[in-house]
Amino acid sequence: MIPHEKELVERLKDKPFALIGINSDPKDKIKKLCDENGITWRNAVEGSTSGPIPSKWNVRAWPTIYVIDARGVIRYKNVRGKGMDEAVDALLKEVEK
Amino acid sequence: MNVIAIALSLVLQGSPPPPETKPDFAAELKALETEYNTAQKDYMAAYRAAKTNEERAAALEKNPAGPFLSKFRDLAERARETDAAAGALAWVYRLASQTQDAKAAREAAETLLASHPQSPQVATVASGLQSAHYYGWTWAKEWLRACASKAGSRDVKATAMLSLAVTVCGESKATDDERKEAKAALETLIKDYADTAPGRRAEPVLFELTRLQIGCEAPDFEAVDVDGQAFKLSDYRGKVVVVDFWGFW
Repeated sequence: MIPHEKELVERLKDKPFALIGINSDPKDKIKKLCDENGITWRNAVEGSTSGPIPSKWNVRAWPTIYVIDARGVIRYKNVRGKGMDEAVDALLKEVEK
Repeated sequence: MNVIAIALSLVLQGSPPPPETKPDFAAELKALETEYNTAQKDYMAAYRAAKTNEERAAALEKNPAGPFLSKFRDLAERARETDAAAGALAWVYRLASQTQDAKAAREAAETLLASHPQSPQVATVASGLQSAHYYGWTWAKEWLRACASKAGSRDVKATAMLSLAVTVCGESKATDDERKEAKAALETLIKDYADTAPGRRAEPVLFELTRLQIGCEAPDFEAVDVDGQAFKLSDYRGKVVVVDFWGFW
């Protein structure tokens, strides 16, 4: 998971793309974990799997993924690996049209 | 002479037959549960002890779920109409979920609801079927509707309604009518069943069903990052965004 995310962020660093993690690790450990693991993308610190955002969004399975286009519309759910790459690339093409 | 004849006939009959022993299905169910739990522990231990892929594959072959499903189903048949049958059918359902035996799960669920609608065992199936969309069990929705209408307790009704909504919410191919039905079930849960556990879970499910489907504008949220900076999802409008709920654990 993490290696793929790192690759994606690196590959698209000059594109209108953002990976936002909603992280559920404990608040007092998360910064260290991110630094140690070379996590370069932004993470919301929720502190647990029942933090405010995952609770509101009914997130019961981890990980859960939403892919949102440049107009703010949800276009894909729970795509991972190659599926995530294809989804993001398709939506980037729409921006570049 | 009559007395002697009577005495002789009594002697020749032998001792009276023993009283008829009715089978104790409840005891049999308990014994079978214990037997399964032991077999399950042994199976897990053998799997953990395996050191190679071959050993692991061999360990997996010995999963007791399949053989015990048959034993519980057999008991349910023999014990039919008794409370023990309801317990045995719930076990058949549980094990069928594990082995992904859709036919066995469906038969057990339908028999349980038809023959024991007031049994608390119905809750096991009602709760389990919230995952029906993962299994691809298309019969589940109809069962959950029937359960919501037939079940004895408010908690079981609420469980069935929530599971119906959850499984529809998770199913990308759900029809508009099904989504409407799920929405109505959730609104009923919020309004009339707030005193039950499923009732309390309804709000986020409704939010997902109505605001987090493909085609919905993503609801904005505000958060704080690892450096203590506040940010909003809407800050990223104009970019393609992946929102990834995750953890290192």
